[in-house]
Amino acid sequence: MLENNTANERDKIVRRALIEFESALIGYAASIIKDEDRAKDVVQDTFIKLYEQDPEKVKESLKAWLFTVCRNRCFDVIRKEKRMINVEDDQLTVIRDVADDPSRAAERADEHSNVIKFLDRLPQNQREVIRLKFEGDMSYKEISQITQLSVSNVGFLIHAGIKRLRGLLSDQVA
Amino acid sequence: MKIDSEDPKLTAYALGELDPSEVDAFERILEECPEAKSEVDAIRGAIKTIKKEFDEAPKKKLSEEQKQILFSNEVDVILDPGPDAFSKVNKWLGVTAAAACFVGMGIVGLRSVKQEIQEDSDYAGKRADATAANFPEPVPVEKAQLVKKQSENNEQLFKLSKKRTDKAATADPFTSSDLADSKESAASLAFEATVSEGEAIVDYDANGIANKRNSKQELGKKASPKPSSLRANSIVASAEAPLSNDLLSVRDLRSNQSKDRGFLKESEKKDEISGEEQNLSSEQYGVYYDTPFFPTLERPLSTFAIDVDTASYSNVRRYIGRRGQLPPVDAVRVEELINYFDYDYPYSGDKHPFSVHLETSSTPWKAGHRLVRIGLKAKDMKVDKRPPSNLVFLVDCSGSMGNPDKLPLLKKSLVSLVVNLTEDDRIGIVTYAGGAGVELDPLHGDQKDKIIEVINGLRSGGGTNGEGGIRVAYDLATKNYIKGGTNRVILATDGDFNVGISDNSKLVELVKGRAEKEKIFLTALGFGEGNIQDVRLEQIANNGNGEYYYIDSIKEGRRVLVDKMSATLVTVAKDVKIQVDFNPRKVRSYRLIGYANRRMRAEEFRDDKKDAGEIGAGHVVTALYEIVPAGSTNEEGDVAVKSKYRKSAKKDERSDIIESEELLTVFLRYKGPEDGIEDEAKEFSVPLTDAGKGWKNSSKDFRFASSVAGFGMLLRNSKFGGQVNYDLLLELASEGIGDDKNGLRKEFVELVKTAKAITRAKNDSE
Repeated sequence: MLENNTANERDKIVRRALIEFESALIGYAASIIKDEDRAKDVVQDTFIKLYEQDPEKVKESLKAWLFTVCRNRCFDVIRKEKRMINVEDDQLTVIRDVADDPSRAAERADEHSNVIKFLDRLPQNQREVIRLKFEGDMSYKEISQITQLSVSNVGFLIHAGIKRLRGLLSDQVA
Repeated sequence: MKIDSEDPKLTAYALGELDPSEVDAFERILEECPEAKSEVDAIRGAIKTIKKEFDEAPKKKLSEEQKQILFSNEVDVILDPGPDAFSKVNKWLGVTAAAACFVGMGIVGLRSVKQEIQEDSDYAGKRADATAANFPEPVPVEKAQLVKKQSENNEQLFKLSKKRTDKAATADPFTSSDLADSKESAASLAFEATVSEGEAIVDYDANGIANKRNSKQELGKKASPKPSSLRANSIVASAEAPLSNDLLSVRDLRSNQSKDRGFLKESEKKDEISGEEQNLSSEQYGVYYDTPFFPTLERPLSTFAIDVDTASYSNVRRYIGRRGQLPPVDAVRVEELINYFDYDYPYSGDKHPFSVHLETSSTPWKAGHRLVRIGLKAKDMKVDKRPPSNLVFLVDCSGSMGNPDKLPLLKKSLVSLVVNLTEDDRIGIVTYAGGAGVELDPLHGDQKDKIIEVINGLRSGGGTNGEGGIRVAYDLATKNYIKGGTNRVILATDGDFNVGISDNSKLVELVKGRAEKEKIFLTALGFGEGNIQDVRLEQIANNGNGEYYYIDSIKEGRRVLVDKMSATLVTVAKDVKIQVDFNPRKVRSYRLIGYANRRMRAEEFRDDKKDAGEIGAGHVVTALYEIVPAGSTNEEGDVAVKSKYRKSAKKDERSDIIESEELLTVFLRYKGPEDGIEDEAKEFSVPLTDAGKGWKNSSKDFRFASSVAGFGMLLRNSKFGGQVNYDLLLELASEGIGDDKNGLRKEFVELVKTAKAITRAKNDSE
């Protein structure tokens, strides 16, 4: 019956994780790998990994565990992809050009609220900590654990990121 | 002490992240420094906005399949509470996994079957282990359900699981050999079909979620009934034919085909597939083969059904424009690309509901060849003159529809349609997931506020409601039938359309039956990325006498539901067929560009029971033929007929050919929108004589259409592409851009440029 209990615990913890963090994890992963479909795959992998853990060990720090695994997985995916299709700079330019195409801007505005849209204009590290802070609802300390940055560094990035977002938002109003 | 606005403490304080020991000192500074205080307030304001926007952003969710994988093992255990659970669990898991692959996904690749077999032996050793570790002891069904009910958020998962359970139950009677035998016969049937048709339309799983399932979920691996599936496998492999249950077809076939077509190197093939696996979760496309050149002497008649769908173009635009990658070859249907654009063919006369415009010039991508354009223009109908509409929207509200590019986009598109309705119109809404079926009993079009309120109230989430769905929608449409009006069910989905009938052929049958008997047509709107069941949606719309559109933006939603409303809603002719009779004196061989899955046998042209394409008010349909002129030394398309009973190949036998300067004659056959299956179709014909024009002197529309066709051929790696290249396409498109009132042609030019850049980047990195 011991096996059974553990399995039930596993099940419970995955369900809990799914309910609480599914959306935030997808958003976070998508902000790193820039593709929601692949982000979902990463998040699915993360939950599958969670299934394989000893529930006792991950229960306490579930959130940090999930975001850390998810983050590592994202970078795995990016590394793997780089090996496969060497993402050259001009290819990235292509993607960006299209994204910045004014004829599409209106459509994108329909899809995302302003802040989330503007997040994409922030440097990767600022974008990441801001997502963790507000979408993941984490403390500086938790963010520091996940990103391996110091707490003061996290504080600095969040400060700078919010400042930049304020600028972008007020530009838009003006 | 002064505080710099760059000091991260300001934000830390606003967020309550400042170290408690510092808070007092910091607050004192704030008191003394009004700038710092207002800075904190501004930061707080920004934080509030950010939090609010994150809270209000639509929740992102894994697809149902993805979730299914997470929880599947527990369900399997519930299935089997017996004492010998261990072995039975294995069996169940196997069957369930197979059922999930076959039924849930619809389709499983040969590739994954092979993989299973290979991995099976590796797996055997781990089996006991994995079972013990991964699967809990059986718990009684009631208890398990109780546990689940407590968690309302999981209701959806549960229903899903239940669905799987049911499927597994129906799969139970399968013995290994039954399964294999049915595969075999399906495979050989499919093979025959391939041979006799000269082309096959088959499906494959664009990604192989099935593969994923197998590798991630150990339990999938023991699914295959070993010896017999091996047998099936070898037969299939040697026949190069597809296998699966109802819609069969496979990627291996496609790979082989690619090899035959000779334009994919082994490594490219690998890249292509891994690229798909990376980028698509479970989008499904049929496999289409380009129609080859046929020799006029052997086959003077070319017959096809018209197609006014445009979904493929929006989909291609999404790939290239938004994702920055080239679309999978089989997502590109050339005729849908061409027909996305309006061409300025006037409608003249009133005898027939559409008129025909022919033009010919040299082929831009192949010296010596001629290109013939057949353009159809249906009579226009002013919005205020259109007959009243009875529309029932059948809306997918499953959890996966929550993304901004799905339900929210659909809602906006619907509202823009409703605004244009009049009091004579009726609109009803049925959902088939997450809700109770009929959301809106049909109201007249002038009650806009009420209708819009219901539309805005649509929410995604919740499990599939099998009871609601397609029958309810049709019943509602029947109940409110408007004689002489437009009566239509409009299905809107991201592809996962469990509308109450899971068997695809039954669904097709139902849609077809309702269209024939009750004259209620069906239009399909596809939404979103990652799961779009392209081939099924197209198939259903075709059988429902309707169109299939892929809505990738609010702009496209408005184009289909507002700008094109008359065409989308008012059918002016149905079962429209085209037969081209080529003059062998002028034409050595010919090939139809696109319409690969619309070709018909010559004798089906006058078989009025045979369903074909519909044309809506104001619709424009264009088809292109590439022609090798008689007297050309190009032997493309010639078949040397070798028979031991004949002295020579037939190709020189010309004794019965009459004198005529005509290049070809186009025959058209159609029925009125209200005609039944027994009614006789009307027919007329238009001959064409080639004036020998070069393409540089062709009309703007001609040049633009040939650019779009060339683009499709390039994206499909067509071996018939000749000298087609991006620069030629850009030249043709820019010259043919014309007035371009809606800006769509300009957008096309940009798309070609982007595709060119992507291709260059890809080539550079290789």
